[in-house]
Amino acid sequence: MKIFNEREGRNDELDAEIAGHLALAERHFVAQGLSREDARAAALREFGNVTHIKQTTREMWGGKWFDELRHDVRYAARSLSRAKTFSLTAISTLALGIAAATVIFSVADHVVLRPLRYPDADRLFVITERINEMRAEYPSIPANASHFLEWQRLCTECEDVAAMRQGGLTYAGVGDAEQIGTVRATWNMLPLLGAHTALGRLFNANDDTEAGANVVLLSYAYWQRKFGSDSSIVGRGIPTFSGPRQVIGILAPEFKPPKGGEMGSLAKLPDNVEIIVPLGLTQMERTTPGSFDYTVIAKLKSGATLAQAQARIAALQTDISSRRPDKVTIEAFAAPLQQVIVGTSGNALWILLAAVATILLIACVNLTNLSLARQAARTREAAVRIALGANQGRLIRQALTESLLISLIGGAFGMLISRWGLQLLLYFAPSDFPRLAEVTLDMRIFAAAMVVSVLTGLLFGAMPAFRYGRVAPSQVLKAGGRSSTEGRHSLSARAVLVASQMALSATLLYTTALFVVSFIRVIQIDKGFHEERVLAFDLSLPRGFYAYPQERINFYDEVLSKLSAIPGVRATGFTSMLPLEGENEVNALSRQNDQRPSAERPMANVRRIDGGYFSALGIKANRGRLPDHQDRTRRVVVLSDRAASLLWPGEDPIGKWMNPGEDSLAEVIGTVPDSRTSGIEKEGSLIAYIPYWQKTPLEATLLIGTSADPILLSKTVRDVVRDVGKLVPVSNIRTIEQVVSKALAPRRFQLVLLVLFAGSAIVIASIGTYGVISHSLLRRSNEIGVRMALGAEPGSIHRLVLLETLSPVVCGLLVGVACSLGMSGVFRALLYDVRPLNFPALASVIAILVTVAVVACLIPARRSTQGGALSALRAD
Amino acid sequence: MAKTPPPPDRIELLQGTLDLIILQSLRWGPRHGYGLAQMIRTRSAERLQVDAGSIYPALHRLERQQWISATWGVAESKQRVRIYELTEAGQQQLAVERTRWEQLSEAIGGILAPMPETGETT
Repeated sequence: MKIFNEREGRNDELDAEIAGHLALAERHFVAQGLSREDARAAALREFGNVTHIKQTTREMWGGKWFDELRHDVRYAARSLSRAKTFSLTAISTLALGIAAATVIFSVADHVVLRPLRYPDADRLFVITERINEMRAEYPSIPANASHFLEWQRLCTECEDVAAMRQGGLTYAGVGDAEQIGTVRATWNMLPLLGAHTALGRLFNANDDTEAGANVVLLSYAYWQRKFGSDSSIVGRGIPTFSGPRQVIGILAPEFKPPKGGEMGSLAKLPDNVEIIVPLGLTQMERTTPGSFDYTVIAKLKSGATLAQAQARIAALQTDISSRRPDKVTIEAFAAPLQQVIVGTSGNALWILLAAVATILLIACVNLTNLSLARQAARTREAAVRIALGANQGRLIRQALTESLLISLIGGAFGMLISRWGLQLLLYFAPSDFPRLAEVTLDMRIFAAAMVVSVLTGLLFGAMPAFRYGRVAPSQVLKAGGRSSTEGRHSLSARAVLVASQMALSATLLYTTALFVVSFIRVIQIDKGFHEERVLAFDLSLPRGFYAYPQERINFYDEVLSKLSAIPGVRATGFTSMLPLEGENEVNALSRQNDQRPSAERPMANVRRIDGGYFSALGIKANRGRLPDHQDRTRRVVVLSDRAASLLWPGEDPIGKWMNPGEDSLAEVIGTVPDSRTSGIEKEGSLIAYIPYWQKTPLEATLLIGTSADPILLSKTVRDVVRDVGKLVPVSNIRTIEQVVSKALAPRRFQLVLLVLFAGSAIVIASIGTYGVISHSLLRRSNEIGVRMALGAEPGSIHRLVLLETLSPVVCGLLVGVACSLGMSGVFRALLYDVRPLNFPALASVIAILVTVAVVACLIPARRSTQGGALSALRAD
Repeated sequence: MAKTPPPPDRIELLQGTLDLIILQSLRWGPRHGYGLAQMIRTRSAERLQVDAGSIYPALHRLERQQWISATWGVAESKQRVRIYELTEAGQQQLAVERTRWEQLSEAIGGILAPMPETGETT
């Protein structure tokens, strides 16, 4: 506050200087023979108006604006603290609007707009494939290894082409066996993604061979957690079920490879990448034409365009496709990495962004409205001040200072709230929402929010301020504060503002209502199973110890029988994959002696199950029966309804024989309802269920149906498995309700936010309406008093006020609903099973808004008539 | 009551001339505000209608433009006063203001002078 002190010092100096002048003048007059008093008076007369001269002199110092600003701010702060309702409403409205905008803008910016945190991220792209015969069910699948090698060799537009896939290492050191989140990647994948090591080195070409594949890189987090950041681990081996692996380096903590669902559910990358091994393609992997498991990321040569790369790869692909023995057509597509990672989450964010913009707009309208009402109430004050010589520019500046002060305070609170808001949002966000780890509120966004809040201040300050400055004192003062009605102008301006506020709220509310209806529809979807009280966990048998199918069958049998013996367990089951958790083993189904070409045979997931799987999930056979012990020695299959009807349209499939894409035929013994496989909103794939004892996988998911809370069994489950096979890791213990909830998470997340926003919109709009009505009624207390004195009933006055208010409300409502109907095309793809014109939604929106408006209108109306005619007349 | 009745022909000061007057008066050496006011009054034979105080805004403005500088000093009878002094830049400014004033008074003189004979313009 140096500038203050400096000015205070100069003020003192000026006082001293002038006092000195007067003293000298006084002495001069005394010397001429005047008395002291006369001399003093003469000196003052000769000097002129001391206060005025001091004032003018101070202006000469410069920085007058600063003094005035200080004065304006102090004045604004004082008058705002007197108008508490106005200030609190305005500040909280603005804070909410800015907080919502800051949070959502931060998320959208980090997730959608910012380039990925990889070097030359704009040149990275993903190559996926599509089998023409499966295009309807699988529009995009990961790549085949031999195709990848060909692209890598021949794509002249590509600087580099790299591939990775899920690997399955199990830690076999001290303690329980533990699965490690493993990725197998070509040696060039890491430099392509800009990886660095904190310790040791990255892979080189020699590591990435079938023989040299036993070196590993650890993620920083895994190294900290599992090895306590012990740097001597580099160069040593760590024990896994497939033998010791030599650690050659620790990845830098900031390196975050694409994970989990970011590359699509078929890519099956681990959610948490803990260890990376060289891909080291085996001879078999290089030559299996039917395996599509590789996530391929490539980098454009500088100067090349994605379209050129796409053309080159398409040309290569035509050649590849024509050489395939199975004669299927396989296309390949290049898409920017960013687009692939952000995926459909981008759409969801845009609608939230639009919602947030609407809220901010409502907040601004609200503030303008409130300020207008406040200004109307202060016309007399302005008139008096102008009459006393205040200049109009100064009055406008003062009004602007007031609104700027509000915006700044509102902005500051907004930022505070946005900090909490972001944490809340990150907490509730679905775990597989892309790039969430990158989201922070950074200074850029703080600055943006501040600019928004200041601009808002100017925006909502400007209109009232100019009207404030245009007050003609004589007119206002002539009216003597007894003006019984308001100017037509301010009345209509406020009606327009109330209407636009209602229109914006209605748009947001109706859009939200459509999403609510969608959500209800999604919850009501028949998933084809019941999720209540079922626990699931994954098992992964080490190949070395369970090389023979019979060993695996024995292990699973024993675990399942021990689990069923636990009290309170009503069913136990086996499956190779749970519903809603994706796709696996996609094969073409064929009838016995099927004459159709392979392209016309239905593609289905093959799932390894037992009879208990169906009872645990409450699935009943529609036709025939479910497998049990009598089928141990036979080849049987259960089909999902759709699969059965595609194989034998209009025929009874029970007892017929078919081939689920394996070497031998199996007899269809039953059909079950279709289950949702990847995503609740997507129709499930066809499924052929085959008992696990016919072909037994190393990895499985076991289910336990219980009568109590299933999560209580978590520990028991581990004990049972350890008891049966010490070396088998149990992972991913979850309830089926959690599985369902995870599948609903993106939609729920979006809905929660929309409802929150729509709620704030209603709150802000009703505060606004309330504020406007109560201000205008205060102004009209005279009119009301006169009406009541002439015998008007309070009820008739309420009706009058309601009628006047509700017309802009209804206009706004209609415009708003029309707007949201018009815009529904934009977000139609995000709705589920709801048409843009939904009458229940429409009715509830109208009901909610009209109720809110009526309440916001009646409260002040009742207050104004409560005291009777006299108090209304005296109010001014 | 004023000791002497004001001379009947007192002149309102032309805008901007006060600066010139102050700068010119300071040519004769450093002076405090009261001294300056007295000097202006006597040298103009009390014809200029200037409140003594009105030289202060002008002094502070000239000080801000660094044409004059000020120090605290002591006047007769030990009265603490602020003493103003012409600076280097002030000297130059005085020359500029002087020229401007002379041009102005010449121009006004030309307008007020009797009409010259025709054809005698150069």
